[in-house]
Order: sequence, then C-alpha cells, then structure tokens
Amino acid sequence: MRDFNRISLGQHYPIDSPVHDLDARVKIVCVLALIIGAFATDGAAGVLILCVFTLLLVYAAKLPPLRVLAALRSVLVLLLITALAQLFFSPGRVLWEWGPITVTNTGVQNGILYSLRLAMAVILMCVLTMTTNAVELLVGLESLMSPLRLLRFPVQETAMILTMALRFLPVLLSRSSEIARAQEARGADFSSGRLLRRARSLLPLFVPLFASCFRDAEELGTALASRGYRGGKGRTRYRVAHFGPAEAASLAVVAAVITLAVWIHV
Amino acid sequence: MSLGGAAALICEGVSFAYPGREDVPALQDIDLEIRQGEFVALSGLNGSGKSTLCRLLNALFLPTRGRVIACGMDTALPGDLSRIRNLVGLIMQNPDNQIVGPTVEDDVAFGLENLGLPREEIRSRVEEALRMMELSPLRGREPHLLSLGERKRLAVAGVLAMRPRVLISDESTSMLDPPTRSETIALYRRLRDEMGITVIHVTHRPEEIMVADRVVLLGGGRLAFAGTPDELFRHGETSGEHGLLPPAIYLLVRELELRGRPLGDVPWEPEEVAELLWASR
Amino acid sequence: MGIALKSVGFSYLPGTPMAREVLSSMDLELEAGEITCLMGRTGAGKSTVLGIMCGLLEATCGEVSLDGERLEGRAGMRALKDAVGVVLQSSAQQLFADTVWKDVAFGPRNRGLSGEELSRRVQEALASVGMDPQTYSSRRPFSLSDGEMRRAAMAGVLAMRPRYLLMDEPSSGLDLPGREQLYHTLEGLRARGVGVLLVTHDWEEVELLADRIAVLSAGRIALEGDKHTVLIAVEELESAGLRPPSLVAVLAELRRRGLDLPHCFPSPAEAAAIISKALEEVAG
Repeated sequence: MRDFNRISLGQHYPIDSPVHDLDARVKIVCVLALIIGAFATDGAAGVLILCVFTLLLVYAAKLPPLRVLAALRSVLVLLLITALAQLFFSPGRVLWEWGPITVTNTGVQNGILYSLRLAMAVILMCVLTMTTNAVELLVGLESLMSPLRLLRFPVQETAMILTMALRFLPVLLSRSSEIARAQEARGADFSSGRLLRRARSLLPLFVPLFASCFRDAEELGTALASRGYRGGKGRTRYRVAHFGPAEAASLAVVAAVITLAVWIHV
Repeated sequence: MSLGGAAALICEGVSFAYPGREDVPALQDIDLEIRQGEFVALSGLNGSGKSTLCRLLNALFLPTRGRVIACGMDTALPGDLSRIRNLVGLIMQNPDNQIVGPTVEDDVAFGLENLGLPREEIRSRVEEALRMMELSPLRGREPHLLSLGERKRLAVAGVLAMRPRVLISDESTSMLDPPTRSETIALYRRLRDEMGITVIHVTHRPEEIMVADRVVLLGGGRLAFAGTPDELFRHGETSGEHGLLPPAIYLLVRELELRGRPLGDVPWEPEEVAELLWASR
Repeated sequence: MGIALKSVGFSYLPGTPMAREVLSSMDLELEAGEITCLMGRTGAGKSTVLGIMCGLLEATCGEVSLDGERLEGRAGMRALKDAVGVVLQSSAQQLFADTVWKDVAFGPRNRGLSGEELSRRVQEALASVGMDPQTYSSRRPFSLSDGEMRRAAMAGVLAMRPRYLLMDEPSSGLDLPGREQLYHTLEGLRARGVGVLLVTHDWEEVELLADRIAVLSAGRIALEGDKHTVLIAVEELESAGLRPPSLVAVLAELRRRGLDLPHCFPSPAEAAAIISKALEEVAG
C-alpha cells in the first residue's frame, strides 16, 4: 500500500552527457534565451535554425527521443488550438474557403511556425529538467536570483521554501493516498458522481491533508529553529557552482545561434 | 561511570504557560540540574509537560518565570541563542519533519550552512556524520526513498554534524519497531559513552528508562520524581501513578536478589542478564 | 464464521519487470469473537495482509472467503469492505468534519443511515471508545489531543458496526492510561462477537489480549498458535526476525550456555525461582 514511495520525483534522467555536466545556471539561462529567441524570430528560416539546434541539444544530452516527444503529449491540445487559430484567422492570400472559415497561405505558414515554437519551448524545458536534478536547479535559480537581494527580495528564503516543497511532495502524495484509503474504508466514494458532487466528496480527502500539513509544519518549524535556521543571512553553501570553459563555450554557441536566427528575415 | 562535574542544563524555578493559557501553566516551579555526560530519561503521562520542557532547554521557548541555563548560558539572553541551539540538539518523534534537504548529504549540511561555516569545514563534518550514522553509501538519495530507520539515522546525523554537547530526544523512539528502537537507544548510549554527549530521552517505555543514569518524572507540569531507575521502580505505586510499570527484567533481577543472587546494576538486554547470571554461578 | 485466507499470494506490479512478491502463500483465519495478533518484522507484509482482508487490495492468487463463502473480484472486495473496519496508524489523520459527531457519523451516513438510528450508532461508538458523547460530540476534531483523535477515528470505524476489525499497531505511542482504554474497548468488541486482528510488536499486549497469534515471515505464516505455544518458540521467533519476550529470552540465553531450563513463559518470580534452582544444581 506504500509503493508510491518508490518513484523518484522529477523527470530527471540521470545519465552521463556533456549537457548533464554543465552548470545549472548556464543551462537555465541558455534554455530561457532559446525560448525567447524562438518567439522573437521573424520567419521560417529562423525558427528552423532553432528547431535544428534544439534537436541537436537533445542528441547531445543523449536523451531518449521518445521520452522527450512524450512530453509533447501534455501540450498537444494547446498546440492544436494554436495551430488552428493561426490557420483560420490569419490575413493573406486565400487558399480555401468554407463558410466563415478561411485558410490563407500566411495562415498555413503561421500555423506551422507557431506550433514549432511551442513544441520547441516544451522540448527545451524538458531537456533542462531531464539533464538537471531538482537540487541543482534550485541552487542554480537561487544563484541567478541573488542580485535581487539588493532589491530586498528574499532570495534564499524563497529557494528554501521551494526546496522544502519539493522534498515534501512525495510525502504528501503518499499521505493523501493513505487518507483516501482510510476514507474509502469508511464508505467514501471518490470516483463516481457528477462534477459538483465529486468536488464536495473530496473534502474528506483535502481537509485532513491540509490539517496534517499544518501540524507537520509546526514540527518542521521547530526543527528548522533547532538546527539554527535564521533566514538567508550569514548562510554559507555546501554545493559548489562551477563555471568553466564548457560553460563559457555553451553560452557563446547559444548566443551565436540565437543571433543568427533572429537576424535572418526570411 | 564518572559524570563530569560541570552542569549541562540547569532549571531554576522554571515555570511556563502557553500564551493565552496563562491559567493552566504547562510547567510549574521546575528545579533541575543535569550534569554533562548524564543519560537522563524524562517521562510522565501525556500532557505532563515533557515536550514543553524539552523546548525550554534549547531556547525554543523562554520561561515565564525562573531561568534555564544551557551549557553555561542563560536562554533568555538574546546574544547566545545561536550557540545554544548549536550545543543543544533536538530530535523529535517524526523523522520526516526534521529532514529538509532534497538529498541525504544536503540535509546533513543544512545545520552547518546555517552556522555559516566555510565550505571545506562543512564538507568534512558532513563526511564525519554520514560515516558515524552509516549513511555514506546513501548520500545522494532522496529522503522519501529511505526506510524509517534510515530516516531516523539521517535526523540524528543532521544534529550530530553540529557537534552538540546535549542531545534531547523527544519521544524519538515511539514510532519505531523494536529492533530499530534498540538500535536507537544503543546509538544514544554510544554517543554518551564515546563522545560524552549528555542525553535526555523522553519516553513512555519502562525498558528504555532502565538504561538511564537518572529518571525525571513530570506530573501535571510539576517535578514528581528525580532519582535512579532503581529507586523509581522500587516504589511501584509512584511509577504506576505516572504510567510506568517496572519492566519484567527489572522484576526478575529483584526477585533474584531476594534469593541471594544480586546482579548490581540492572542491565537492559536479556543477553546481558543471562551473561551476568552465568558468570555468577 | 470468519475471514479465511488460503494460500493467498500478493505481488506489486505482477507481470512487469518491477514485480515484487510480498506474500507467497499465506493461510490465515480471523474468527468472529476472537482477538488474533499478527506479528512480523517491518516489511514482512503485514500491511498488505490488512489491505487484502479489508477489501482494499486484491490477492494475486489464492482464496479469500468470508463466513464460508468464497469471494471473487470486485463484488468480493465490496463484501469485505462492508463487513470489515480498519484502523491504520495514520487514521488519526483522517478526521475532517466540523465536529466529532459529524465525523463519526460520516461512515454510517455513507451506508445510508440517518435520523434516530444514526444518532444511536454515533453515541454508541463514542461511548465504546471511552469518549462521553455529551462532552465530545460538538468538539472540533482539530482541538483534540493526539490520543483523543485516535479514539475519535476508531469511533468513526466502529459506528459502522463492522463484524471484523483490523488495527495496525494502535497502541504505539500511547501512554499507559491510553493503552488501558484501548484494551478495554477491544475486549468489549470481542465480547460482542467482533473478530479483531491486531498488528502488534508488543508482547505485553499479546499476552493480555491474544486468543491466537500468527507470525508472518518470508511471505507466509511461519508460526501460529495460542499464547502458550508461540511466546516460547524462541528459535522460530528469531528466524522470523522477532525478539522473544524478555524473560523467555533470558531463559533461552541461559539454555544456550548449558543451563537446563524448561520452555515456558514465566512471571518474574517464577523465572527467578527456576533460574536459581538451575544455577544451584550446576554449582553443586
């Protein structure tokens, strides 16, 4: 009844590859830049260049292509809607008509391009999470956000909260399944009934879950205080970030590719 | 077992009431001295104030009257707070609520990061703590994938890395199964024997009280008894009042005494008892 | 009358490369009007047995029968769910309603009860766990102490009048008065003909309550019997990963060193007498 615990959380795909070895901060910056670049390009050539680069990245990270494509499944609906919206509502030379719906040449082009951009964004995010484990990601984010400390933004504290949330997610999942079982044994039915009814029937699941979270939060607070946590001030870091030639090279390559893609106006 | 004369923890006329419930104080007039290197069992019925006392000892709460001196520092003085928390470690019942790091080694490092230690120092202390708790092969594992016993060891490792002088275990064995419980008690004993750490172990279990040098009982927020386990169990009524019945091994040893076979200090494990009896034949 | 498991096996994710066998071939009977204690090392599969017995898990092989009738598939699991109540260690966490009364009423309400009958059930259930309905009915579950929450959770299950009750280490973490209340409740249930299965590690509890004891090890019941047989079976207990009761263990250790001692479960005075006598004989 406790097999939930065996899943390792996060899509992290732990193998050896040059991309896996890169510092998390560089990966985050590159991926974000590429996504922004994808939406900033003007025409087909630019989008295609970035697409090819994305696929090369997936190859360099030695990630199983099917797994990566599977990630697209979750946004399939969105992709379809975007494509259709572009297809039917773009101005340009009309190719086909059926009542109020017109398909234009720009429509076809935009439809394809936008879908490609979206798919790229998803795949890039996938590459990021599959090549970087959650700890490294959060440490990287914290590091990137540290300049915000000057604006009084609680960077360390935010990172701390996110890290703890990540750490407790599996605990919450297994606890909610335990609570669900206990309530089922009392005759609760979580699976049938109309939508509104079902929402209400989830109360015996959510209320105890939240209550237990609050109880645990109190103990957790005690533990944090006992272990000397006083917020971000004065804290040092166990994990080392590294910025070496590989990282510099990656940034340079990505910058070059994006520049090229955005400059081309085809 | 020589107890270094220095006092690790002192309570002078300590009273405490939770804010908003001043009419029902959780603790009243507690006078207690615990010496460095002692193994003290703290017990009493649910609601008698044991957990509250634990939190007063490491400055999580401040007494409403009286004072608490931990490792020579008054808990009410603000400057020493960090040092007190460092020297007086707390282990609670549910190991999950003490593990905050995403991996084993990150969690052990947490307290050390809070102390602002340099990275090299953190690294060596993490190694040390992992080795002591036999967690080194699990260093990169996510905590929810560990067994309960491993999580328990991780919680202890995290506190040990901070090199405390006092370890307070707030019912840290009550959720464990018997083998893990024995392991944990043996661990606390080892920490005391090898590292001179003062241990305060809160428990309901008479067998666990037997290993302590002294037992402190709380009843209704007041100090009801302080003495050796032997003294406690000799007076069955006192111990019974506080929900503690003499363990079977204790009664056995008393009976053997009556039959002219004294064993001295009552050991805890059946193997130890048998060994002593065999040696005495 | 009872729940019978015959040659029951259970594997997680059977047929996949990640399959894990927890139970291989288990025979266990829970009789009405008896308290059976299920023991075993952590990880031996006790929770799985509970899951199968209360209809939350389906056995991958073997037979499960309820009161003589063999149970199959979903209908079988439903029959078990109706007849069996289960209180897990996490059950104190299941309280969710505004008042204790409403929470205890949740179970019977789901079964279609209402009005007078419902009220009676709730009051009975609260009384049977030692919580006075007058005082506790309108309390908020989150204002209760840990021990009270556990009792309220148990009342919530008892209000459905299960014919069989399964409990997973209900006394862990309770102080002495809490345990005494629990044992009192269980004895009351037994007297009313409920069949109780108690997963426990506590020998005192076993000695006090058990009509039958079953020890789970390596996926099957390695040892079974009443107090007189099981508590003294040192070798079998140790190979199942359990430590025998402390006095039994002392006798066993002395026996290992060559002392001739009977196999029994003595009181401290009896043990002292037996050991003294044997030591004198060896000395003399």
